[in-house]
Amino acid sequence: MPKFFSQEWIEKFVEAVNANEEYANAAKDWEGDFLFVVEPDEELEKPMYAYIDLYHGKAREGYVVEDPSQVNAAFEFRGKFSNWKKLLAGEIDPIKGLVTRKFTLKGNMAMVMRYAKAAKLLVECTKQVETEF
Amino acid sequence: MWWFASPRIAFGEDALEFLESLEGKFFVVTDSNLVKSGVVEKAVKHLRGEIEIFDGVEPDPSFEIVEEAVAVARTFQPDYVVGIGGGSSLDVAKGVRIIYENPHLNPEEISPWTDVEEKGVKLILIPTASGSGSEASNAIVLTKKDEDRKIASVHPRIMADYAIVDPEMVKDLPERVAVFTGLDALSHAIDAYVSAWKNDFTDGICIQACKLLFTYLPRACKDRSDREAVERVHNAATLAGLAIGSSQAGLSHSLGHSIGGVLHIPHGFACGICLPYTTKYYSRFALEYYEELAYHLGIQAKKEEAVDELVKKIKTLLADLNVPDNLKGIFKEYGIGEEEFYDNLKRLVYNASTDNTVLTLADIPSEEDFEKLFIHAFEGKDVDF
Repeated sequence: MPKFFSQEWIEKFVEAVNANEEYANAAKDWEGDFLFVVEPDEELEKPMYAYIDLYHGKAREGYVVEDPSQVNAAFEFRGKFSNWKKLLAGEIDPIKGLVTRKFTLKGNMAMVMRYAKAAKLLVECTKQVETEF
Repeated sequence: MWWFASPRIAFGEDALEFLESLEGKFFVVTDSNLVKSGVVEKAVKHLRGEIEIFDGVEPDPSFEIVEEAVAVARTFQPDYVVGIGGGSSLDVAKGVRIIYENPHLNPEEISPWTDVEEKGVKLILIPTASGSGSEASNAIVLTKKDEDRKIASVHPRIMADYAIVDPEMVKDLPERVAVFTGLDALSHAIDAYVSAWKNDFTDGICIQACKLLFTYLPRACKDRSDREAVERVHNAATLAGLAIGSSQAGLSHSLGHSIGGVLHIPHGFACGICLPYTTKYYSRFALEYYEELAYHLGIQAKKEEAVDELVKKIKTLLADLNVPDNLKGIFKEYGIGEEEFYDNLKRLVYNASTDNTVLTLADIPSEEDFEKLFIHAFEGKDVDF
């Protein structure tokens, strides 16, 4: 079982995205890469970063990022480790999580607002990856 | 964690008199028809201070109209933004307040997690129809003209400070407008009751709104001098607006927004006529909630039978209101033929399936199911898939 935010986990996530036809259709015009950030808390000492390039309904590539200053992604989604765990367990609704500031999202919001379904499906894909925390 | 929020609500006869307790500069956002008909004056005469009226709100208002109104407001520098009208004027007024206070913000970029500043401008919303519930919700629905698409933006700062729900403002509402706005309110109440975000703070509100609408809407539509019925329906619309502010609208609105954006029929007709079909379809995900709602509406049947009875009850209401129970019938009234519907079906399906309201569904229907839903609602066929 891949460890959360390891290279293997990210590759499994990319596979899950690329196998999801509904996502492919909902995000068919989407162009924008993401930096995902796991912020430290009681259970995590150092932050973790992952880069995913999403383009026209597919994930073109994904990898672990050591130095976030080297990545200039269009969107950044970040939250504490404990909240990521709850998100993957389905205990936090991704939109409620953003509204209640458990997660933050930076980037072009006008674009995100047009792809609400794609965003929801993207989170669903994380749940499909068996994860060791 | 989640929230339930509400403006301070003055309701009932003479609620407009509350306005006399406020002083300052009032920027009124409305449409020219309401000014001409004297409805705006009914509220404005209670304002104490300098008044500027922007009456350029259009049906299915666009993002551009918000920016146009904000430009006028900047010169006037109001203490209060006052929306007077149906959902369109109220939504524009909400947009004006938030953009006026946050000039750097593109209205299209308002999302629930956008950082906004509060600079003390108060928002007062006075509905002149009983339907959108916009006076009590934290959402704005604006049209992206170049995409024929309605976009709903939600943010806590969108919520009004005051809502004035005075039946005087709706007593002269034309019957047909009363019908489709009332159906919008019913769609809000039912959608919110079965939403994945439903909660203890909205359930009772939804039930009461449904009870009021099933009981009083036909009376209020047939006779606008029926003061009791008009007032109760007006209250019901605000209640339903409060409910969607916390629990959000659902599937009838996914279809309704799509139909409104592409084929431009009144929003309440689009949602209300889709309700029997979305109710039956969505009961696969929310059977217990529909059964519970049906019980509170006096239906004794259980499980799927309760849903079928609820669908019948909605169709009976449509019949009482002289509204067809299928999209084909209502489209005909607006000069939209079968060919135009089927020519646009693909776009209707795509827009519905990507509408923001799908976020609060327990499960997002596939595009194939959305297409079937549209066709069944168009043809008036019972949902059997």
